[in-house]
Amino acid sequence: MDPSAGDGLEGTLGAITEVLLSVASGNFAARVPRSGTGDAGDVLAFLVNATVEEVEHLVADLEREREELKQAQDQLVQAAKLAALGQLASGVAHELNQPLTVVRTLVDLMREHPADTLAQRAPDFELLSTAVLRMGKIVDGVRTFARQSAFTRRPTDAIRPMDDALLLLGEPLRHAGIEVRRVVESPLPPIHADADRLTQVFVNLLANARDALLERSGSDRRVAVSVRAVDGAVVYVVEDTGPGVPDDKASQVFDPFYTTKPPGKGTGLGLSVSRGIVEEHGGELSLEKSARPGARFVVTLPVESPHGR
Amino acid sequence: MAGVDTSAWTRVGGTAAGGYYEVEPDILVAVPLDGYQQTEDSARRSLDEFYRIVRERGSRPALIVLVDAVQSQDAASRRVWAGIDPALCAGYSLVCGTLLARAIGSFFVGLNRPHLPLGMFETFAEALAWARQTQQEHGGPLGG
Amino acid sequence: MDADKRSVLVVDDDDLVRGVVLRIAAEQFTDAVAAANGSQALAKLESGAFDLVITDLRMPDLDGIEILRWLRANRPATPALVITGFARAADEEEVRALGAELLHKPFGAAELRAAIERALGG
Repeated sequence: MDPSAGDGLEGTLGAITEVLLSVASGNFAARVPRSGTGDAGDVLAFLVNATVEEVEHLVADLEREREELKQAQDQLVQAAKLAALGQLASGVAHELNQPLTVVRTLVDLMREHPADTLAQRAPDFELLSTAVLRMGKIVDGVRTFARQSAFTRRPTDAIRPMDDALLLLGEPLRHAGIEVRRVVESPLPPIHADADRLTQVFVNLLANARDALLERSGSDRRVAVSVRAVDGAVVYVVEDTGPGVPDDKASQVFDPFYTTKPPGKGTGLGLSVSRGIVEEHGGELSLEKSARPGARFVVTLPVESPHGR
Repeated sequence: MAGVDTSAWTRVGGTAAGGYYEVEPDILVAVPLDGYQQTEDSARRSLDEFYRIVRERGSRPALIVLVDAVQSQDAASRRVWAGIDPALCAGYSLVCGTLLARAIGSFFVGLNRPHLPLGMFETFAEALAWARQTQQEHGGPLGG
Repeated sequence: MDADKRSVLVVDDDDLVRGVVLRIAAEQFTDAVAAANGSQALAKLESGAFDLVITDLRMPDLDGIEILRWLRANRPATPALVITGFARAADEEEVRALGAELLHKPFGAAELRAAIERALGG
């Protein structure tokens, strides 16, 4: 070190060290005082300050871009959710036709007896109420599903996403003549999950099964949903007795926009977004080869607490 | 520390931070006041003044900036200057004779690079020669 | 004594729908019998005769189509009316090919009565 540099440079070096220590601990407000003389020490002070400012700006830019990316991802998930809603819609329309029929015929019958009192018609009002409540439940189920939410994980009952999807699709499946089997192997550990997003995955898988099974007639139309714990993971299987996925398409089914449906009937986003959601949870979604005909999808979720134990 | 003789130049505008001079047709020079400490606000005002001058003249000049007079410049003001509109400026040359000026100018070469031709030079003469060339290549009437 | 007896079988797995269809059908029949699914329906069909069968198409165990086929094979003279909220074009064709009337849900009392009349050949 140059002995003629004197206290000035040493003081500057000390100040620089302090500032960089501050920055290392995340405090970007620290600055080296400037002498303003334009000498080597002053220039070094300027350079350190300017570099700290640039780092501060770059970190802020990065945070902002990360936030924008997250929002874009949320929107993509929402778009896929709406597409999945489209898948639900045909089943829901059918579901609504039942209580609608009840309401229309009851109202017609009541109109045909205008002289009757409310008390005399009380049983019919009971039936009307029941029918309307059913319609409300059907709509509620769908509306809850459509609600947008940010990705948040919390301790969740492993059965819940699967059962919530079965609540939404179980009746439409049965009405379509499809047998629904549910197998749960207890005990199951809790999972750390965003239940709504996982429900979306199961709705997608069940809706795909329904679409595959509707293509075929006959009485052996079945979808089975099962869950069991295996070695630090929870494994769900959704399989159907439909035509299955041909071998040469097996690697493509998870591609975005891959669809076998005619134009206008399905976006092909479902499986790719479902896989994205499962992977966000640290898990895997795969199509397994099975000896039986039909498609067999497996969702594996790790069992881990948020504290990594 | 002026170091450059502005007396032969025509002053065409300026702010509290300094003046803009025309040294040759379509070559302007920004001359900050000695010891200038640039912040985002003063940078914005200086750039807006530059745009005003350019629009008034109707053609795209090259700009030479005498950085030696500048004492400090913060990150926000650098970003203002890095965002200069290429439709209103043919190119930007920085005169950085002192070590401090070189330090200041360096950030424009990398982290805050503007979207138009940029040059950094030790002397005014070199900066002017480069500015002439840039003006020929990228200058012209506005809106063209 | 059984000469005036007319009976109708209503098959639908939705309890509320079954109820209102039974009520309206019962206006024109002396006996209105309900079945909640395909196998119950077949059991009732095998053990009795009906003047009209009203059935949903999609049910958990037996398709309405299979009921229609059974009728064609075993009770060819019995008219049938299919009530459904979910029918693809192929299904509709098959229903008509099997000689049954078709009524889409949702419907009101007037539409149901008209469909019953059509099914009975009126």
